Amino acid sequence: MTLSLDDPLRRESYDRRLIRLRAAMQEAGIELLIAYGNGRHSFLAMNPAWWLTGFRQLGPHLAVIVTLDDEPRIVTTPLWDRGRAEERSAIKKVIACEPDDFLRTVESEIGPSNWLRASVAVSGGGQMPRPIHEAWREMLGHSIVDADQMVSDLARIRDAWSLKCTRAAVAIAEEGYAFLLETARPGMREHELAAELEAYCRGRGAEDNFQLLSSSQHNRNVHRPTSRIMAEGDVLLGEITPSVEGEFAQICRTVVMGEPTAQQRRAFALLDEALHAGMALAKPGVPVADIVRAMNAPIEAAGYGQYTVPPYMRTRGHSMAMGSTDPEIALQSGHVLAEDVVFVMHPNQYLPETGYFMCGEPVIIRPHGAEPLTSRMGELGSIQSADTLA
Amino acid sequence: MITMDTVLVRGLTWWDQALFPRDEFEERTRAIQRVMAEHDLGALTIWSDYFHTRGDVAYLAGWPMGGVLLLLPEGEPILFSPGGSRERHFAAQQVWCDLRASPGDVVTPLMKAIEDAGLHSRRIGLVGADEIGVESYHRFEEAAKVFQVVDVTDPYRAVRRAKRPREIMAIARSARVAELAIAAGAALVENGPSNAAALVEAERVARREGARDFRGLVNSTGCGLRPFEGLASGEREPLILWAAVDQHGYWGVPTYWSSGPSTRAAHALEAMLSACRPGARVCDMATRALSELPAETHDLALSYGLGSGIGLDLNEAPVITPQNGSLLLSNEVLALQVYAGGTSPSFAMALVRVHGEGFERLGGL
Repeated sequence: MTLSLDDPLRRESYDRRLIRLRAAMQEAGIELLIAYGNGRHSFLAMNPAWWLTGFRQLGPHLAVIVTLDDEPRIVTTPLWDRGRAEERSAIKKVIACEPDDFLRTVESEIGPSNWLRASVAVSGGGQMPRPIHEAWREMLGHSIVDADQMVSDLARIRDAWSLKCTRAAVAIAEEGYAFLLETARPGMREHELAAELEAYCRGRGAEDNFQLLSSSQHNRNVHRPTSRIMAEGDVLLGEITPSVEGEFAQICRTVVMGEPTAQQRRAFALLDEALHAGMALAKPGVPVADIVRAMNAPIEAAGYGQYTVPPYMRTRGHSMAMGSTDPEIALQSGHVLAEDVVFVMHPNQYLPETGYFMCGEPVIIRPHGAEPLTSRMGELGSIQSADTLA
Repeated sequence: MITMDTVLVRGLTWWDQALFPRDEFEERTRAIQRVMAEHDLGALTIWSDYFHTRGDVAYLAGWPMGGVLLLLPEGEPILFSPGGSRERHFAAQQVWCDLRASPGDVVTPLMKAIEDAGLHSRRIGLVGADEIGVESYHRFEEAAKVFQVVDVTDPYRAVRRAKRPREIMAIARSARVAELAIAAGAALVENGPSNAAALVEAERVARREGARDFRGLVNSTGCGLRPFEGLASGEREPLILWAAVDQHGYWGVPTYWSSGPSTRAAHALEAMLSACRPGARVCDMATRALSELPAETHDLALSYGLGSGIGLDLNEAPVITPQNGSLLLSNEVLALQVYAGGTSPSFAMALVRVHGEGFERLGGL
């Protein structure tokens, strides 16, 4: 499942990202843009530096310096990781330094005196440490445009490489779930199952894999694994989120240890109905708030309206954020869907009779509605407990 | 130092009250309240990023939890978490102190609690200012302008530098997991699979043994150490596998591991240890390590780092460099390492407690 760095699609997509960014800079009157990465990689915040370079930094700082005409370059940390940066970065001019020298090195590369009257922008994906944020102003001596939205608007429409990586991550997530069904047994501890699933996903080529994995006879929510020993009758919740080349993809699954009860089947069917209602409506031009209402409708009709808000749920979906955190599928979100936007849609929530259930798919927005990226949408899983661990 | 990407933590998440009973945190609270009195602080605020936590908050909260922790001259800490209300039920089971969820805004409830307390001093202490988000910092700055805000990060971390007995136990337990992990990875390579596969196996074992977080690097392709980026990587001999494990918030590395017997790295590590004792200068340890390495490899060894203190953070003070003139303290725990570059690279690392007339190796299977 590991993708090749020599894939022509990768080269073309990264070239195209730079072209599109420069066009957006020109349109906004920006002459210099710094895309900053703080080394914190997750699907909760965009990473503009990784999105532009294809390089996952190890150190605490990375700056991509883009002007309208000059050859783009990166300043990365630490020095010992330079070889990997030169090998993997789509931007070929690489300067490496120690973290303590980062700002001095960027300053030397930019030559701030050249930009005294220029329009300068920085995109840090909302993850910029305050001292770095303040350093840009000090270095460049004037107000700086926040370019996060500009980068996000470009990145949220997936290009061919992004989709290829995402699809690879989805495949790993699905295989991971199949592995979970084979592996999870009463008698096993939650964190042991999480460890096996993590290693399985890594072995399939995921460079990272966030997961929430928890069990209970009646789950209040889903959370990180504890040392709880799983037992017959438990409901196991799994949020499996592998990443390939920085593109995360998430599936949400619910599994009963034993034969699901009629009540549990009804609960899952209700959430599945909500998911399908959301997917049917999710077309380009539709406000995401409408999607939320469509997902909530069957749940409200079943008499659970009061459970469609926190603390009984968190959100109805979200982007996976290599370069964009848009869209968030929430009532208060002002986002409007566009074609080729990818996100996970999940009516995960608590219901009083069964506890918290999960049912979520990664989807891509097409003219006719949301298409699942999975080969098989989630069903209520069941693990027969003949093989209970001692 | 070896720096690593900070990903989202997803390993074993459970407050072990046998290892860290409530009285441990009450003692820590009293120790920090004495620091507050020395600095005439009416309140102390300790900050951490929500998802990528630092040890400062965990030291008093009991678990690496993001948000801002408020401590008054008397009473127990309060942790204001920006996490959502769905998460509160589980999160509250990890910390011993009062957890108050305030999604999206911790500054408003924090300042209200400070106002409600009726401070005896208008001085508010601040730990971890660099961890505060830009927006939150400006809100805090505005809301706290009627107070005198004093950065007490250094005196706070000075208290944390020498480890308490239970902290040393916790680090030793993490070291044990790191040793099991690295042994499993090395054993796998002996049976054929690639170095990258060894890293996956090490992480699997670490997480099965209860790691909350894991960091690993391996010499899989090209020069030097790399993170896992797929199994397509080739093999290199000898295996160099660096692994660090966080269990219950405390980081540990193996008590001792070397990529081979009698390597340059191993000799340099021993030279460094020969200078390790309470009261010794940190820079002398670094100088001794470098004296065992060819001059042309010094820059690379220093870039990888010669080690540092370890505990609730992977890299704590003191950082072992030739420029660091600070003195070693009794009961601080050091993770030491040497990467010796050149045509036959080697690597060695050790975990020691500065103790008695020298040091003791910590952990062990």
